[in-house]
Amino acid sequence: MSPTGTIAKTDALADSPPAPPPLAELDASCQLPVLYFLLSGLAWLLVGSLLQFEAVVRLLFPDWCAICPAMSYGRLVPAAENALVYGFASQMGLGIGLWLLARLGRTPLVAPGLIAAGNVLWNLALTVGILAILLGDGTGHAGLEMPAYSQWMLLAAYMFVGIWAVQTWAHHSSGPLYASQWFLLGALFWFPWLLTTAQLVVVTFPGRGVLPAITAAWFVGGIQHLWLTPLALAAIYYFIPVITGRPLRNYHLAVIAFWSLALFGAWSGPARLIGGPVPAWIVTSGIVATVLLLIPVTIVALNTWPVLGSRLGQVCQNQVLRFLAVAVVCFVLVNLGNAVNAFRFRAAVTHLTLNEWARSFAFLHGFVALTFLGAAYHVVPRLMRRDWPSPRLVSVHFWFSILGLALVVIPAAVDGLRQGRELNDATVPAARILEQLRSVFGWRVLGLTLMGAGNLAFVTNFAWLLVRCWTPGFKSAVAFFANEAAKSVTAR
Amino acid sequence: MNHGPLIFLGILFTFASAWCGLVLVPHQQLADLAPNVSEETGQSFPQARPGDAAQGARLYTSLGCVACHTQQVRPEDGGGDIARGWGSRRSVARDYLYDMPLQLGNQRLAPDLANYGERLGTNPPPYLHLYNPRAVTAGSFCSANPFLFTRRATNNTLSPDALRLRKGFEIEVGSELVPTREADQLVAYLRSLRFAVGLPEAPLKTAEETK
Ligand code: HEC
Repeated sequence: MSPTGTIAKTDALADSPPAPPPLAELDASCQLPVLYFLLSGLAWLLVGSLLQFEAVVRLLFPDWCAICPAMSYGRLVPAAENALVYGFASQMGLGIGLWLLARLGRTPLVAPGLIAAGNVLWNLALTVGILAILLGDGTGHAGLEMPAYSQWMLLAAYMFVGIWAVQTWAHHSSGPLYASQWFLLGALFWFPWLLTTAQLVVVTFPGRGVLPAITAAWFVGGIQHLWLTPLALAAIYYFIPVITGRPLRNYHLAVIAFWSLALFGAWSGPARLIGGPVPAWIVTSGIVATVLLLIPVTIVALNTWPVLGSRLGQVCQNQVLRFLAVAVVCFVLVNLGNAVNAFRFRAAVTHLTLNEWARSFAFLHGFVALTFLGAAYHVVPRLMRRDWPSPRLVSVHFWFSILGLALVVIPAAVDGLRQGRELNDATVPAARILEQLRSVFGWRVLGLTLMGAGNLAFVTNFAWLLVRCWTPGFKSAVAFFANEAAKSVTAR
Repeated sequence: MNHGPLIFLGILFTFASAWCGLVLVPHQQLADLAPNVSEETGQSFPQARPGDAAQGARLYTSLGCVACHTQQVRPEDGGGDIARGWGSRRSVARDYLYDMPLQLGNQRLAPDLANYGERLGTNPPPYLHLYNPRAVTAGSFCSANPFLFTRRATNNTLSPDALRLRKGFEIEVGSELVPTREADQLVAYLRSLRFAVGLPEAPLKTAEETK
């Protein structure tokens, strides 16, 4: 991407309706909160990756640091998961989403200062929550491990953001609403509803027996399909046409994608309880919804793939499109895998294995993370009015992420099938089956290292950009004070 | 799709349908689930855990054993759990009436523990395994919990509850490792994990059926 040239070009494409407020003004309103969200999202990405790395190291060297319970595998895993979902993915997604709200609605962000305050509170809630898990105060509910006090704080923090984000949405300029705007509006409401329900019914006033587990499963499905997915799709539906300069194909179907995602996404969660001790109809409705999720998934593919395919050369070159193209492929593959393995005869083999784990890893790190990281490559230069200092670091980030992702996901997905098959065969001793998983963990160490190196490249580039932006101001401030000091000295 | 309020209503209704279906209705359906009282023996199942085991459950949760160990036995047509001897029948909602929070788990990097107490039977309790699984099973990646044991000085003879460490795992002479109260609680919990009791919705197989 050549510096200002491409920015101007893609912005011009976004600018077709008449007389909008200048984009610079919209970006200025976004700068503080969006930058906060992106930066803290990145920080949590590093923290979460580190915890994840430590966890797999504990699998390979279980006696290392064993004396410290805060470093036990069972605490590192939920700590990493929460850091990545609420710290990284949610904050990056909100940052990108806020920027899109202003851009697409052609209206400045409402109350950016309060939104930024919400961001600070969010990070505080999360820090408390992650520390609590590591110190042994986790709730033990799958997907809701952070203790009640930190989750309520998180909800309060979200209110600061959500209320003003919806206000911004409502101020959108007249004219047709774009698909990204439906997805954003949905996500902005679904998240607090999901979190409030789960907080009340699972953590704060838990029902008896399996009830909290049913609600938690519903919640985890909701976080995937009603929060992270719509946030990511909002970005995909904006950036692909804007950067390629081509409208999405079959765009009239997008409306169906939205409503089917809303309905089946909300019902899909309990599929993960298959074989579990819950009434069969609950699992069945989850399975049906998970399979029907292929409707929105197919439509997303029909909307985006022809555009990406017709601009393959550009996709390979462009900093943003590369990330998004891989993300869309991951989205389709993961959901396809989930649908196929939702059927009982498949679940008998793959449920509870690394194959299932590989799919959820690919969802978070393939689809969601690559979408937001790619989008950040587009958004940050516009916020800061300056292009990325090093295009080479962007390439490093991309290739390391993809390679690392493949090294983590593919061995786990393949060996998970063996794990499931052999666990179903009572003649193979369990200890032997499990011991053989070590090779997968070895690949995971390598893959996570590559992904971490890629993310560090991004962080370096980002820091470099900020230093460049802030150096002139810093220099002039220094010069000013030096001048003043000199004056006062000579005056004496 | 250009009317904000209409979109909002759709967002609300799709969500509400799942909320009613998957949160409200299960709460109504399962709210009255009660322990089953056997007609033959007059015993009720499941039973609340006594104090020690209940404390142990907290420890199990806090240490995150669930990251590797599941506690659920899938039905015979849904996996090989029963054939593997992890349970004599599938697990059902009633088995977990007194489990809080549920430790069903979503990864099987380790043997299922739903019936661990049953499997343990009269074997010695797994203190050594909790201290360091490698001291029992070479090559295991089960997490060690040395912090659940205290070291104390001894005069040559090990006390009855001290760990009998095999070669390669010894500590210096003149001292021994004994379980803390927490270790006892965790073991009490692990012992309490069992549901080899028939229920109307999940009967145990009779001897002929097993053949
Ligand atoms: C990193 C994954 C992991 C974690 C975390 C873990 N375990 Fe294990 N566990 C294993 C593996 C693998 C085995 C099988 C090999 C063996 O027997 O050591 C096992 C075996 C066991 C066994 C013996 C089971 C049997 O059928 O003989 C017990 C008891 C046990 N673990 C208890 C625990 C407890 C209690 C915790 C929490 C403090 C825990 N485990 C945490 C992986 C794990």
